[in-house]
Amino acid sequence: MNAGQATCSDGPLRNLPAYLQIVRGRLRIAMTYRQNALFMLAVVILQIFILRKVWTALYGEAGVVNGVALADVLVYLTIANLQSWAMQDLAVGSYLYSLVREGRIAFDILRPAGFVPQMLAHLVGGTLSMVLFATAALPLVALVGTLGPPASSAAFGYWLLSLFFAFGISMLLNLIVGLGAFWTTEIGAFGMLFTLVSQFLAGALIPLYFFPDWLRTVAELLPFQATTFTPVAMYGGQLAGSEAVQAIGIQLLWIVLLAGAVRLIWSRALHRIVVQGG
Amino acid sequence: MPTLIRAEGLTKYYRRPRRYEGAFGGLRTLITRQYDEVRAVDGVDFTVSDGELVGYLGPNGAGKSTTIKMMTGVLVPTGGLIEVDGTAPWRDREKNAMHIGVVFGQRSQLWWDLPLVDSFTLLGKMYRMSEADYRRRLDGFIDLLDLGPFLDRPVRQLSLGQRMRGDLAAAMLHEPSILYLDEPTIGLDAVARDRMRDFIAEMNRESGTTIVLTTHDLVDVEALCNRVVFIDKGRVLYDGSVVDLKATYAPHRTLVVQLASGFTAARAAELLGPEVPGDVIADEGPTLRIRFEANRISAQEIISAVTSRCPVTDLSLVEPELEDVMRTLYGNRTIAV
Repeated sequence: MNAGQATCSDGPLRNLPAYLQIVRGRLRIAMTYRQNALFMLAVVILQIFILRKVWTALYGEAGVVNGVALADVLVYLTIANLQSWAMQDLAVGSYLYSLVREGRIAFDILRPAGFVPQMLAHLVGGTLSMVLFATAALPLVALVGTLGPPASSAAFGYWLLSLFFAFGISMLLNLIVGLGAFWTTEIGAFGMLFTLVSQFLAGALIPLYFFPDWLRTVAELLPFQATTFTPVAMYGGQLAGSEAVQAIGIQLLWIVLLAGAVRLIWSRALHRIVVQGG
Repeated sequence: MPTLIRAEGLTKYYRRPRRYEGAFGGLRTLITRQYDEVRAVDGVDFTVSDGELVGYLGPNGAGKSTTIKMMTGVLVPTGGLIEVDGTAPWRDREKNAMHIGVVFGQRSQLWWDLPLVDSFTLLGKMYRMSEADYRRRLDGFIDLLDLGPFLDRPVRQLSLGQRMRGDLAAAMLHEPSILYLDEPTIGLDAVARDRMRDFIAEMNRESGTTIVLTTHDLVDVEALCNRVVFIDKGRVLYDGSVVDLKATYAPHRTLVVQLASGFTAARAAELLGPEVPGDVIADEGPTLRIRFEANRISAQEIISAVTSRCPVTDLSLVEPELEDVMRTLYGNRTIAV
């Protein structure tokens, strides 16, 4: 296909073709297991439907609560849930757990490419396939939930930029959960707890502006809100102007902090690697 | 030939959390951070020269896999020295990775959910091969290991023999100068084993690949290795040729004598008496076995002693099996609790 292109160059990008190949492989795996993904997607669409019913009932006759109209909340919830579903790719996390548990991690360590970049490539591929599924499901989502246009063209621009960083943050969070494999051998219950707590604190079930003050403070001190609330609130125009710029700055700060955390965790993990069995 | 791998006083200790028995034992295990030290490899010395094919043997839990993992750079030694081609493998994993290949028989490096060929494509890019090199090598392995029929099948659908062939090709695709094989024939049927052995021998002979092989299959060892390093409980018990190993630990040969009809083994044993050195084992019926030490008496002497006293229809000489050697070596172990 790309004859003569992938030859030995020595720059920092010399392993890029390998990482792209991993992304491609992940996409193919996602296609192999598309029925599973579609089933999971159905669960999310059901969740969007239920949230719509619940919030419509909660609003009742009131047109506006805390300065937010029902229609805006419904658009927020629809986009937030679809987005956070696409970010919660636990497949790569459980892949990492299986690598450690079965001792296959030795093979990935023995590659002439870094281990963490390899895992990030897996995450990029996994997330990309989820985004593709979510995009394909948009017509159905519009039918079941509520979709609306962005508040303005500026809001749309902010949303796209912020969404990009949001994916970065959630990939780093997923990687940290995955690296937990070096300390415990099971992801099951912890993975579910992580999904639930992060979804809640990200504002996927209740928009952050409805949180009581203390809980909102807690949520704002954690990275999860930057994965969901920040971009979706920009889409709806609740977060605009200098506030939006500041929120993007906070996202970048989280990326730097979490990347540092990954570095630290990986160096400790490598130090204590004991390949299981044998 | 130059030394390629050098281990001196190589040591690896693991720390395992101490477990408590009885009521609340699990809780105590969690709370008290006490560790037991397990000495997996305990001061191992050996060298491997360029182009050698060495068998690295020992019972389960002897420390073979741990040593292999230190040689490949997965594990960092607790103490001692390990050098592969002049550098410590764990210090520069990525450089070391370019010239080693690894097969762990009980594990696979292939991409489980994807067609076999996809794993090769990834490795081609991972080891930064040119498109032309990649094609040429892959075609070579497709021929040599007959991968053609299942190249496009997902790895999870392959038989163990097919998967192992895929794993071997995956380990060799970047033409490493050293190949580590950790139990490559485990679980394979007789035909697949033979094929695997032929391939290993060919890689060593034709490409000059240095090979370190661990196995429990002694036929592998006899067919492939000139030299073996035998370890147990983390220490080297023997390092030398297979021939010397047998001479040292299994010096006995056995002469099997078929007596003419009507002549029982018991009677023959009586006739031979104490004149014949060695153990005379008289079976029921006409078969007599004489076990003797080859360096104390020649087979010729025993045969003439037997034929001059008893009517014999057939004679055969049984060489010691490597398995007997292993039994002797394993038997000498002090049993650890």
